[in-house]
Amino acid sequence: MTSRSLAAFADLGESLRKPYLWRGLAWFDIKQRFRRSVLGPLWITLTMAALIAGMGPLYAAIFDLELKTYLPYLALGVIIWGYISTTTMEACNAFIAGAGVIRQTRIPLSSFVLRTVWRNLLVLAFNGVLAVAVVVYAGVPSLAHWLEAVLGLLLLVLASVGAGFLIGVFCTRYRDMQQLIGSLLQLLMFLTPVFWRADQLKQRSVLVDWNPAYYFLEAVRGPLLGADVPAHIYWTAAGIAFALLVAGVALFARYRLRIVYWL
Amino acid sequence: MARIRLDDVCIDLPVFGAHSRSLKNRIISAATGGRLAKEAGVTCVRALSHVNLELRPGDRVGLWGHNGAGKTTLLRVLAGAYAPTHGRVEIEGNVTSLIDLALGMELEATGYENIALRLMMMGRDPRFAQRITEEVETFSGLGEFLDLPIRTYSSGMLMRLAFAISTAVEPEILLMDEWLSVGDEEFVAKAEVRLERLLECTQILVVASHSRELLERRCNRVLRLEHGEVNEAVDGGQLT
Repeated sequence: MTSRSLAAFADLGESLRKPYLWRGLAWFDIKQRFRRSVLGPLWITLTMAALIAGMGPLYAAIFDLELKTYLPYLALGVIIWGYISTTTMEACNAFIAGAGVIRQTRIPLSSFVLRTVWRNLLVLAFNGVLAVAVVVYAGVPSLAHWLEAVLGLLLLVLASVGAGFLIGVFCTRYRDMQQLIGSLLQLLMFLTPVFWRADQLKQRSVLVDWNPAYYFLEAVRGPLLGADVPAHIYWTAAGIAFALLVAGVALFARYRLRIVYWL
Repeated sequence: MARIRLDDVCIDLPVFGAHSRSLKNRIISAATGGRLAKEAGVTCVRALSHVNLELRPGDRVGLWGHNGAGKTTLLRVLAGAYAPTHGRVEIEGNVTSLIDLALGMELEATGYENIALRLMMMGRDPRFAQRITEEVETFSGLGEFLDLPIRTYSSGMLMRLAFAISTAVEPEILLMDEWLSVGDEEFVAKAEVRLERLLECTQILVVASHSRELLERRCNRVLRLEHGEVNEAVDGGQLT
């Protein structure tokens, strides 16, 4: 192992030893976003509830599906996709947002990636209330299914940490990337089975089989809706998460000390 | 024991225009046969050039030089923010940097939140922060204003708070960009006393200043910076 990767792991280790740093900053970000609003972060939940209540009946009618099964499907899809896309998008600014501090003092840089992920997990938690509500509405899944969903969520979080490093470093150096990622994500939202079901396609599509977001979506949503998700979904999700982590940490290790000069 | 050692340190600051920062330009320049060097097409400014330096406890170091001579860059290296592009930097001991007093402060957040934020940035855990908060409360004398967002503060009040937080932690190495002087007459005197006390327990002080009088009074070593080169000034008489 090179000294560069050792130093990167030391950076990561320091962040993990000081969780209050990135957790505190993440919570502060959320408070900041809703400052002076009466309901505060509860708006996260309300906005999502309105979206689901509006889109659910409409799309159920368009696809001619039963609302009782479609609504939970849509709700979980939108919530999980929301986490994936916002985390990816905000990872672009992970280091840029900390520029003032990074330029002035010694601070573990990995904490800015963890801050971004944690902030989005907090948002996910606010939406989690809705997720639990629709899951109960659809029929409470068994314990094994809950555990599978937790496993899926864990893989998703690991993947987003990896992607956070990858995208964070890259976007700091190349400022065009943020626009590019933004437009790709928008496209990907429609290409991913968030609103529609993979089995609605007449032939299984490349869009599903080669879409990394699909595996994470399925790994969390499937079991919560009581479906028996095939093991290969989890293996693939784990593979993607691992690859992202390795690539992200490698890129971070390689360019960690350059980041301050790119800000 | 605090110690700072710089071995043949160079700092090259890349200057990005909108041009070199876009991926499109990288790809186009690659496709048109432009060389894809490590920092292709980026102008670099050599802010520090082959600096060798060793600081030990008891050192009171003054940095002297024109604007753009590299004083702030050197302070940022000593703070551990800039990693050298060439050479080695070793820093032992915890560093308090008073380069930017308002480091990490958020205008929309209250005084109390800013105390917590700032201490987090300085790597202090929340338990420690709680103890410090009380001390900052009394010293800053801001009273109930600490419950208000700091955007409502006057610039003087803002400096008082920033100063109170920054100096609440006893450092081993203290970095300053110009001598601090904050607030109204009464507070200046209070601040001066506090700074003196801080200096007593500081092992290494590095202060950049344009004031010859200050450097002569406060420092036992003066480093002259010229075009990124650092030279030890033998006596104060050399300062021009």
